[in-house]
Order: sequence, then C-alpha cells, then structure tokens
Amino acid sequence: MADSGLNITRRKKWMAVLAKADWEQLDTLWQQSKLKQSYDLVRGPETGLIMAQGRMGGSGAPFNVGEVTVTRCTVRLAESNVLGHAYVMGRNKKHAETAALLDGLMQDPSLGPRVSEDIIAPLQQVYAARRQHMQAKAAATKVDFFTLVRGEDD
Amino acid sequence: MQAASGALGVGFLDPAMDSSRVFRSIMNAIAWPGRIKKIATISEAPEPLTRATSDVLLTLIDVDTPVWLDSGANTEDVRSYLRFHTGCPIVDEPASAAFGVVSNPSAVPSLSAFSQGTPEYPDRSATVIVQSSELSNSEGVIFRGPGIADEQMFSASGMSDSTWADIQKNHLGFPIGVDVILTGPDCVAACPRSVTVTVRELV
Repeated sequence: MADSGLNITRRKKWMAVLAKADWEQLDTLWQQSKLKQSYDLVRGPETGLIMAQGRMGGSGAPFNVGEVTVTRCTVRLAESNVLGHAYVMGRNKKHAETAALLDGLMQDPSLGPRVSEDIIAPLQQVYAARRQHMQAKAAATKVDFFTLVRGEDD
Repeated sequence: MQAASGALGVGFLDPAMDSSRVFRSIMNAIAWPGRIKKIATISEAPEPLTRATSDVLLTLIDVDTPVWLDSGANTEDVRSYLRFHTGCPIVDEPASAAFGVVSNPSAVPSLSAFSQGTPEYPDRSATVIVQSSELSNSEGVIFRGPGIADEQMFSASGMSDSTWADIQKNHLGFPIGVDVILTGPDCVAACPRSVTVTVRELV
C-alpha cells in the first residue's frame, strides 16, 4: 500500500494519468495488456457533483469555479484485498471502474511495473503531448508589456 | 457475507434502492414496536457487526450524524468502514452522538447517557442500535403502547432485565428520551420511547 510521501506522490501521478486519459485509448491498452483480475466493487461506480476551486494565477485566493460532474469508483482486488480508487471527470462509469482497477493493480509489487509500462506510460505520453500542444497554443497568445522607465521616483 | 479483517467491506451495491428498502423495514419496525422485520441486502459487515446492523447504519447515518461505538464495535475495521461509506464523525462521548451502536446486548450503557432531546425539540435525541444474536416474539418482556393492538411479547438474546428496566425508565420521560432499534443477524425490530415495557414477574 502507498504509505510514504514518495509513494503518495507517485500514486497521485498515475491516478491523474488514468483519470485524464482518453477512454478509448485506456480501454484499448487495457484489452491489449491481457491482464486478468477479479475484483469486488466496494463503492460505485457512481456519478455526482463536486465543487471545483481555482486560484487566479495559481497562487491567488481560492474561488469556486463551478460544479463538475464526476464519477467515482472503489474496487477491492480479490486476492490481495488491495483497494483501488478513481475519480474521473464526466459520466463514464466504465472509465472510473477501469481506472480504479488499474490503481489497485499499480499498488501490486509484481504487477505494478507491467501495468506502468504497458498502460500508464503510453497514456502519459499522449497526455504530455496534448498538454504541450495546448501550452504552445496558449504561449503564442502571450503579450509582453514593455513599460518605459520614467524615472519619476528618483 | 463478512469482509475479511483489514479489508474494506462492500457497502450497498445500489445505494438508492437498497437504502430505501432497509429504511422501509426500519420505519415499519418503529411503527409496530416489537414486530420483527427481515432485512437482507448485500452490505458486508465488518466484525463484530452483523449484516442487519451494517444495513441499518448505512441507511441511517451520514456526514451530519455523529456516531458513538461501544467498546466491542469500536474497532479500526468498523471505523474505517463507516467513515468510507457514510463519512460520519465518530465521537467518544455518547452525549454528543446522534446514533449509538451497541454490539454487546448484555452491556448496554444507561440510556440517560445519550442525548435526550429537549421538550421543544424531542427529535434531537439519539437513536441507540443494539445488536443481538437473536430476536424473538415467543417469550420475554411485554411491550404496550401506540402501534400495538393489545400487547407484544419480545426478547432479544443477551439483553438483561436491568436493561429493559432502563428502557422503561427512558419511556417515563416521554416525549423526550431515546429510541432503541434492535437488530438480529438478518432482522430488525424497534422499541421507540413511546413503548411501555413490562418485565414479566415470576408467578
């Protein structure tokens, strides 16, 4: 189980990758991996609303952006009793269930590396590329303001 | 089904339907004090709770209802199960709880320790859930009061006469006082504060 700070950081990363992944690609990778695991649904998958908060510029005072539809799921792996959690934006219950299952498998010392290599890494690549593309588009709109120093304060 | 120790048990599979079904059983049990209603769903109770008890808890408690657990029920498994499925706060003092859970029927704490409500707001009292290994209508104490045509015989295995006497004392404060829900392995019954309890004298 993920207990130490380092493990929590790693787990946060893969949970984010699974949550943000494109469902079609996630499903394809999961089918291709041929991993089989029986599990119980402990909670959900169920859809609800959460209030998303934002900070202006990433550091300002938090404000409510609005409500976001979220689907969550918790599974318990049959053999190890390990819990996998997932919170995924939108209403795709299968996505939440698969993401929760993969979160559970990632915590398994023997299966984790394989899941990481076969599923998490490709998803992360696509996500990084998409993010870079967005950032490049946003960067192109950046305006630099040049202000002449008028020297009034001296 | 009982969850393995240390593993988080499954809650309701279909929360809306399962909890309304259980709620109906509890409501009927309170409307007809002493009558035993079957409940059977799929929540996996953590030790030492029975499935009926965990069904009742998952139905009634939520983030706004502080829960007090007796020493038998106050295990890490039970606490994490309730926190995960209901988000309820777990309190140390019976007086600050909205629900009390008693897993050992032979050691029910004095009902006066729980929140009694006030004459203006009798609904602010606590509800105490007592788990027993068997509920029966063929022997035991006599219930009389609203919802009972004549009288209703009732016994919960493990409950002592002094506990029944305490429940009768609780009735004398009506309309304030606590309500008692009794759970068996797969059934539920109730003894709300309106019920007069007579411990049968030996003839």
